[in-house]
Amino acid sequence: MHRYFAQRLATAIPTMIGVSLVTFALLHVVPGGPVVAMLGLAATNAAAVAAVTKELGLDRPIWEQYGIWLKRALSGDLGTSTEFHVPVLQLIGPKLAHTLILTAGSLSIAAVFGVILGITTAVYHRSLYDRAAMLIMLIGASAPVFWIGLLLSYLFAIRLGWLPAMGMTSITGDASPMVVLRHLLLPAFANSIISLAVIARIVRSNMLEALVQPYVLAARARGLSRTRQVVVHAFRNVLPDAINITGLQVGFLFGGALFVEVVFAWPGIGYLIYSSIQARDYLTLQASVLVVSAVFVVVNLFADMARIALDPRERVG
Amino acid sequence: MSEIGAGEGAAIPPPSLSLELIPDSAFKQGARALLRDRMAILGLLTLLLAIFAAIAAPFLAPYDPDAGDGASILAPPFTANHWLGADEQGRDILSRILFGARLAFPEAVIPVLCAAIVGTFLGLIGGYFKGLTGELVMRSLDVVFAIPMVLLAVAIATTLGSGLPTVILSMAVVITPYIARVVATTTAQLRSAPFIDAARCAGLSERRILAQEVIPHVVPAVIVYGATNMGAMVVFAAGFGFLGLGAPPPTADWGAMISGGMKSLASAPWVSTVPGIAIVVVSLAFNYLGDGLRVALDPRLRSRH
Amino acid sequence: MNALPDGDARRGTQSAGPLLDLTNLTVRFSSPAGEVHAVEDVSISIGRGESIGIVGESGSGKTVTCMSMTWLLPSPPARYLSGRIVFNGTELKRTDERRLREIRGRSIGMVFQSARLSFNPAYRLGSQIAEAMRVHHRGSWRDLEPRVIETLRYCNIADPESILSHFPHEVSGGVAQRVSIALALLIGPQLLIADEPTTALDLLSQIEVLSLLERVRRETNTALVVVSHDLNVVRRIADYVIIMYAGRIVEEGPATEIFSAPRHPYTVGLLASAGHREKGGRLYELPGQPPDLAALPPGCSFRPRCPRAFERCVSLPPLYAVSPRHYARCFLLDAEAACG
Repeated sequence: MHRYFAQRLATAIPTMIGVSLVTFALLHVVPGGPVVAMLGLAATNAAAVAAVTKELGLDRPIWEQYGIWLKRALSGDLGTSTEFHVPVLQLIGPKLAHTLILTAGSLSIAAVFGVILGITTAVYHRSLYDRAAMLIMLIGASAPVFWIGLLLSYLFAIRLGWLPAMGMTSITGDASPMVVLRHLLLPAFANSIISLAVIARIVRSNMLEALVQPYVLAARARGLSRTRQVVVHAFRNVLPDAINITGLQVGFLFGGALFVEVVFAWPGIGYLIYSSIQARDYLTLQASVLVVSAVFVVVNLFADMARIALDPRERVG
Repeated sequence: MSEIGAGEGAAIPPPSLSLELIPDSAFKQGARALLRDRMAILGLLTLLLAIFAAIAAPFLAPYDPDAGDGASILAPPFTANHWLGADEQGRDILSRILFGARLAFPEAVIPVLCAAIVGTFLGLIGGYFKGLTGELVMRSLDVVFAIPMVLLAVAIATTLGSGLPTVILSMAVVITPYIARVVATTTAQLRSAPFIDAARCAGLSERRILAQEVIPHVVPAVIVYGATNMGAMVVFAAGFGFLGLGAPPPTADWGAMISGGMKSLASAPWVSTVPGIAIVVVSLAFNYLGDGLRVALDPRLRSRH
Repeated sequence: MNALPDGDARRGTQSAGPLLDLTNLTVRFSSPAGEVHAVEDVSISIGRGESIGIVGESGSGKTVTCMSMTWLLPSPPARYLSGRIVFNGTELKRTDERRLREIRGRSIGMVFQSARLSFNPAYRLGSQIAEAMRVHHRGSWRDLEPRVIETLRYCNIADPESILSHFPHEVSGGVAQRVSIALALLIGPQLLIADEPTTALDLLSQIEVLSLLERVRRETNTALVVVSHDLNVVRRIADYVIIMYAGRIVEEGPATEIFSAPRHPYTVGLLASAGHREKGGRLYELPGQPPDLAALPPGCSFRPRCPRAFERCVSLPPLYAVSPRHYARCFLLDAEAACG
């Protein structure tokens, strides 16, 4: 187990290096070069251009430039946002927390309801409930997440007024947890739908197999209740795959967060990225991608470990 | 009395392979299976209809999709003038939907095709050649996997400047690793198959082995992967439009139409809703068709149906 | 000759009233190939402390029958067209889930063919035993553990304490089977059903498991139903033998009579191919294939393979009495037809 952890950690490092290379490369692919990326519209000022050239070492060979950039990145200096004129990392910090809350919320909703749906549709296989649920899931999974967000917003916020459509400012400050939760509900749910459908589908098909296993029948023969058979015995063997697929959803949820944050004006990294796109603030964009990827790699690592720890098949041999 | 004969002895695959050689008769079986799948046929018909509508848009659309009529701003649907209503600039939504299809299909299909070609090439290298080249390819792909797909695509598109070509390029770049991974896994499985060894013993060069023996197995897997994910590609492409990275305004783009309708969501929800319905319908059609193809091309799944 | 009389009178029960009386069980499954007639009109009566063997090829319906004794099979996909179970004098209704849960394990225990697969691979053996016991007995693990250890030892399991902390895939098939029997004994059944208890085991383990079952039969008053396709197993352990073919009972009777004087051609063939009776000194093998349960021929299901079939066999023979407790489903036993 520990050996596996060390292995995975070891492969994560070159991966992160690769990610940093990609984000570094993005700056240089900008039409106009990194100078435009750093300075934006002020790129006509000769003195500023000279300063940036010296700072980034643009007159040096490309690998040196990467080294300079990497060193600065590791020490927390990711440049200054051309749009907001503050250091990028300072900008990203609080936003990242918001996005993590949103993603955690979406993941929880998707995991909990996905599992419940998966188990119940498997147990009531071929019933009306099963067919209806699967159809709704399929439709939900075929729809763009921002569209679902807008529909939910229209239905629950505008028409019914149960939940706020936007207006979340910051978790720090005087917003109480309840307020945060109320604002979180719609965007988190909207983002969760596709993942919910995927998790439900996987859990369902695995449960269908697990429910016909000999040990479930044997449990029944020993007088155990149906609930016990389904949850303690059948589902326990589906759990590793369920965790696996849930972990795989995180990357997808980060992507979805981008759209959902725009629809609901949720102050997270996704919204920041959106603003950076509009303002052509390449530094912020690149740094955001880098930070999100780093978080993603870490989350994947833990998801992998959880799966290994819980999978009885891994114990064999 | 015992009739367990050796009738179909000809195409018995080697036991270590999980994929099976697909001879002619199996293709016919697969086609028949597909035809029996009602939802897949429905999906296919829907898609054909949509493609036809896209091609014939200039003739079918009642209005110029880019021309806004001040008098019709936010007109509601189900009226004689505007069957699906009008948007925030008075443009007819039905016409914009029809013209939007002309973007939606290429934006979904072309990236997948490009990614299929490049991805297959990379996957073959990564899966077949153990050793530095293969490892290098696979590790590089891992890097792309580490960045959430949407974020990377959006970053690339922003960096290169918005527009249809960048959307297609960004999507292709981002999907290629997934196809490459599918190919690499399949190829790696096949590498250790006895009939590959046999081909080597017979003196076939590595390149010929790849071309003649490996690729025919890989192609169905790629087709299935592409087909089952095409629906998601339509949705993905719409995302670019939503963020403003797609074709420039006032071009009719389903995703851009949805974001355009955001401000008037309270008073005119149809502006954002209708384009979404179009996306869902096309995406669903692709999903059903793709699912049907998947079952039809994999003999093992067919018996369970 | 007489046709089949009422269930109870068919054999002298060893004490007042049978322990379990199953009548007219018919089970079907729907499959893509058609409706499978798994069990047709089977009636079995089990007396207290009696030991019964059910023999048949795969597909004969023996497993479905013994699982139906506690209505164990989930009802889709199984379809119970008819069947009545009376256990200890009261009827066991298929819909009475609560009563069934009390009975299962506690009064009627079951042991499966692959014992290792009958345990959940994710949990240790000890916790699965504890779980089953908690359903049926009160008391903490501390109170129950000594009994568990003792029963495991009774079942000839070396080092019982360590076995409890093992996972199912970490023990051998023979050990798993004996743990499985131990678990059944711990919950303390009046009737123990063993479905192919030795089939998945190597020879040595087979002997061990069989000896254990014999011991249980000798030393306790637990009734035993052993299902097997292996005649040797049944011969060792059963007082009464039931032969099934294509979902029906084709012959039944005391073990001594069945093995010395079988009357149904299928039984004769079975015994011959098992080497019990050689035909002309050569190894005998039953010709043909087992029937397709979705497309059974009319009349006697064995007719296509029967060396002694004649015209009458196109209708279904009833069970004829050969002796007070011995019955066979064959027209050859009908005196008039045999002569005519």
